[in-house]
Amino acid sequence: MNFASPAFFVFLPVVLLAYHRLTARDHKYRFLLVASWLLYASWNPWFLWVILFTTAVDHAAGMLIESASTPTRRRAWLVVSLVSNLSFLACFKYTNFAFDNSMALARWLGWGTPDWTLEKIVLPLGISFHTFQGISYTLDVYRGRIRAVRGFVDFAVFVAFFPQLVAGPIVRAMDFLPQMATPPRVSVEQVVEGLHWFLIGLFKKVFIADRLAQFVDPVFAHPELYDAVTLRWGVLAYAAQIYCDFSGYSDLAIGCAKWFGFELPINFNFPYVAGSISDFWRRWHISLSSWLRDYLYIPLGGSRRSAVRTYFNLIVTMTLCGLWHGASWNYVLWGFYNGLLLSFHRIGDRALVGKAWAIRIRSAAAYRVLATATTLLFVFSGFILVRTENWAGCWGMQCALFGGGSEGDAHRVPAQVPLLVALVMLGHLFSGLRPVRCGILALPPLARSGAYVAAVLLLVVFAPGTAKSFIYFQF
Amino acid sequence: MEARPSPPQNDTFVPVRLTRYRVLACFLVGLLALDGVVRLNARLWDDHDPNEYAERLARCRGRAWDLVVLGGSPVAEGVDPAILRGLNWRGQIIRRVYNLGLSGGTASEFWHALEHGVTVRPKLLVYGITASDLNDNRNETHGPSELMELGDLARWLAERPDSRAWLLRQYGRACLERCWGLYEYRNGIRLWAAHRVDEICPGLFPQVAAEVHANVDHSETLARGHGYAPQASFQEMRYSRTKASGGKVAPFPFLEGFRLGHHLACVHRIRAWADRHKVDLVLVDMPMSADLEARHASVFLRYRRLLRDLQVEHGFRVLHGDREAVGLDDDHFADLAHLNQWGADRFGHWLRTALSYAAVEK
Repeated sequence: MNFASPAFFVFLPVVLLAYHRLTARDHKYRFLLVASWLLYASWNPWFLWVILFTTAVDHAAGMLIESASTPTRRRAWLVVSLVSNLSFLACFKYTNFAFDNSMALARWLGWGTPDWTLEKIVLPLGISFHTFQGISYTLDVYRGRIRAVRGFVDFAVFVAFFPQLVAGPIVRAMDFLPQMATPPRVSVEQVVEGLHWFLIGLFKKVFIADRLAQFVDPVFAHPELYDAVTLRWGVLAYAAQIYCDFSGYSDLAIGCAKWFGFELPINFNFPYVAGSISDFWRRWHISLSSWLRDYLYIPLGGSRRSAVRTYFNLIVTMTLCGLWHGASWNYVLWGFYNGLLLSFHRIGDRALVGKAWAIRIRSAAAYRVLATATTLLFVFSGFILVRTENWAGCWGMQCALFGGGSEGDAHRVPAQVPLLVALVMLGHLFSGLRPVRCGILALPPLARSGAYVAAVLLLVVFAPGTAKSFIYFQF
Repeated sequence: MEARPSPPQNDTFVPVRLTRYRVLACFLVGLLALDGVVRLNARLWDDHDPNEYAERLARCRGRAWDLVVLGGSPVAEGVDPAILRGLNWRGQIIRRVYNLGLSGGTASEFWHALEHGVTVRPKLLVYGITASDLNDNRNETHGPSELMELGDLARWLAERPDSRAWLLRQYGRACLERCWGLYEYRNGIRLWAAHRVDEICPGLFPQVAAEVHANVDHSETLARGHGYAPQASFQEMRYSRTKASGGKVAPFPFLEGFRLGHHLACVHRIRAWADRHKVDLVLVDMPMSADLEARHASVFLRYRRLLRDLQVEHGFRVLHGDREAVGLDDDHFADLAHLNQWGADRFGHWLRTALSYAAVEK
């Protein structure tokens, strides 16, 4: 069930009404859990066992870690949880990748390869997200940051809470579980803010991302057919599409959660106004970036050891981040590329620390504009790596992005493409340059409700006929 | 003097609480106001996105037509009322002819259209029938949403258990759409906006602008005329040329899984309606291309046998407008099932002559 599909617009009000009609804490959470599992099963009921199994293992591991008498036992139960989560992720997500590459390697080495092929393994919905939530929970219990949850239903709601189950944000147990102590009462402010985020999310997804997809898909499918100008528009449109698609889903999740009385962490903070690559990663998919920082980069040593080790840690973390996004060399390369960019940025940053002239230049508005433009150029170059379908197409688009030509024919870029890209830019300038979560929230009530009515109007009238699936569902 | 009671300390409490609802209240009021504006301009949106079934029914309803021609897209594209005007039917001159051709419809839709759209008794009712009208393997979504009333819904639910879920879904969706004007008229508003933008900045959205112009013309023709508003592309197209050039021929899936049943029952209902209102009914077997008949030879065999049965056993008056009788070949078809302007012209004159003979035979 897609969040932008009509079925969800029946499911959500029914669940909300029933949830708020129930008064007892246990009843509320049991109902929420069943609803979340139902939503999961609506995609493919046969995979329900995956989330049930990992939830049961993590719940048990959490309690056993807490009650273990020796550090060895605590570590053993932690390993059980990690192995359980990671092996599920590996089996479903990386088996095809590993098999294909080992076959290719065997052929290259001249070894015999079997004459059968491995069927494409279907990825269970949201597995990358709920396994990371499970890992963070057991690690936090192991580190003594949180107490293990006694009730299975409470823990299962934390893992399967349907607004964020499919594509995040990746919620930490220490942020979510305290909210569950007593069923949160929904305030008027939460209802209004929920409406805000829900509408904004839907607008980004349906009005912007799905419309841009109509231009982006053919351009990236056959970049050789298009001239350099169209290819550049294709890259810009894809950057706007992927941002609106993913941040739109996060906004929808945040809005829905508010209607149940829960607060989810912000996942995007206007990444296209970032002044550097590290700033970009502080603004893009924040819940994943911070998860990787806390549970991978810092345990690897972070920046506490030598400079070389820090760069190594950065590159390893980002390469694994790429692999998390998708089981293909494109994603691995994209992660590695981002690790390199972060390392180079860190080297430059360190070299300029304390230099008066550098501080003067950096405080100039022109420098900030240039820094943002350069950051975006490299970020978009990375997007091309993961979006193009072959290396020739990737090279052609990279050449076009960095000012080269293309042998393809000149095409008329549909008027809606520059308009929608400009809308995304305006949104960033309107809200991203101010210390607010969203500029619309700071408007007077009348203007704010006017904006919501306008959003509804645009959504209903100008949404494409069919809703596309969210891009991040595939991760 | 008696001491006055002091005012309550929390007198600001109520306004403060109310302000919390301001955004929500303004939003809801805004949505209602928007809905009102949309409904007030319903005609404008309809002009830009004509609802074919509703427009045709509205135009037919309440007017005194001498001859109403029922049928699907072969009728909508192939029967020109202007050619039939002046026909002498049993001593009465047919002056006002209406083409109630509903593209994609089945006999069930034509029955509902007749029941709700033909409110003044005509002198003659012609049903341009073809095999796909009777195929129970298909249902037309516009039927439940545009033509059916609660009574029709109840009857369908009782008689057709196999398509209950489909019907309820379609009918429910149509009812829900009507609850919210913005949603109901969304396409019309979109096309109207594109029209306005095209006036200000011509060429910005060329495809949408072309769609708008075609729709507005179509809407005007439907609203003014006698129901004959053939698609411009069909008018000029020749099936023979498409075949010769190896061009793509639009598929015709309406005969897949052909089976008879409830749609056929509606043909008998149309007959009963005609008998009840003392209106002469003529079934006209609409011409189809040779290729379509060859592709679905067994279906057409069964269909023709049925027509003969209706004629002989049930006393229907049937005119066989097959290709040989009318003198049609691939040059007169736009595609597998629809006549182009030359075909429609030839068929119209044949129909006029055939009806004149049928009137005399009576």
